[in-house]
Amino acid sequence: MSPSSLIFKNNTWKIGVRLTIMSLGSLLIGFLANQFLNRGIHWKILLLSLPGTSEQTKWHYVSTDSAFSIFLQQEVLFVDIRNREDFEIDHIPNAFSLPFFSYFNNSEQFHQQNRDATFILYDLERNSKDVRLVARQVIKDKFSSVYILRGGFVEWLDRTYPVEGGHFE
Amino acid sequence: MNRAWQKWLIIVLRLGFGSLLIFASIDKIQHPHTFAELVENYRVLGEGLSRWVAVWIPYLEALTGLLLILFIWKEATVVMNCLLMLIFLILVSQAYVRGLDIRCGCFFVEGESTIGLLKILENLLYAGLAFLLVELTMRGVK
Repeated sequence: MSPSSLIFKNNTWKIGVRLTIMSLGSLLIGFLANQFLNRGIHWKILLLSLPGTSEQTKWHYVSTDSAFSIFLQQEVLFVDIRNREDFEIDHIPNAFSLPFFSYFNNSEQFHQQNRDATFILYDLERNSKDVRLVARQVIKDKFSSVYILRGGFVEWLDRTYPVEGGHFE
Repeated sequence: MNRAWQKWLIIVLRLGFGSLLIFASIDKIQHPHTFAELVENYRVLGEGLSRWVAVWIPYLEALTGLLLILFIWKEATVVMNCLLMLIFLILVSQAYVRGLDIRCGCFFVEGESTIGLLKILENLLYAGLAFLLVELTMRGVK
């Protein structure tokens, strides 16, 4: 019998407890530290990441062409979740800037929006994971009509649809 | 191997693994979202659980590394170190076998090489040394 197996027999309980403390302790430290990190994984994101939470979501995808038609009717608020630097360079006209990290840390400004309005959320890329997370949270925050621009801002630019830039409130 | 050699080997291995784990954790702690994507790329856990792992594993590495260097909880830390090395070896190996063209994310979350045979051998070496450390530590305790 090897020395380690001998010791395991005598010390298994003690080692097991310490391994558990290390595991749970590091999970707790990691969880807390991420709340304070500038670009940490916020607890709301972690909660939304738990298995089963995606079933509660009710967003819809909208194609770029359909989004442009709605844009022309001006009956919708576009929400840009890219970081502010990118938003300032260019964005869909009259879009609301809601950077991914800011929303999970402080969403008060967005909560002042009309909850019955229709929102189309977009990120830079097509099928962005971040935009799906924001959509889930927006729906959890009692906004009823939430859409995701499936093609992202990239496809909007590809179609040469209008953009504006250069200012930010 | 005489006891003096064993003692020195334990010290070297503990300090070596401790430094390695702390070094490996720093970039992951600074970029948790990017690390979560790397974890997801291994296609073992889903998108959601990958985020939990990204919150947990870097801190477990850092804590284990710190305890190894400080010689605290000698047996438990070497066992945890061995478990971590085994998990990394299994993850890297399964990715290679499945032909996943992904970055390792072992030390840096960006700009690191893709997984290949060399990376598996590297992880195999770490796992072997970690197991040796467990054996030596348990002998020392006895």
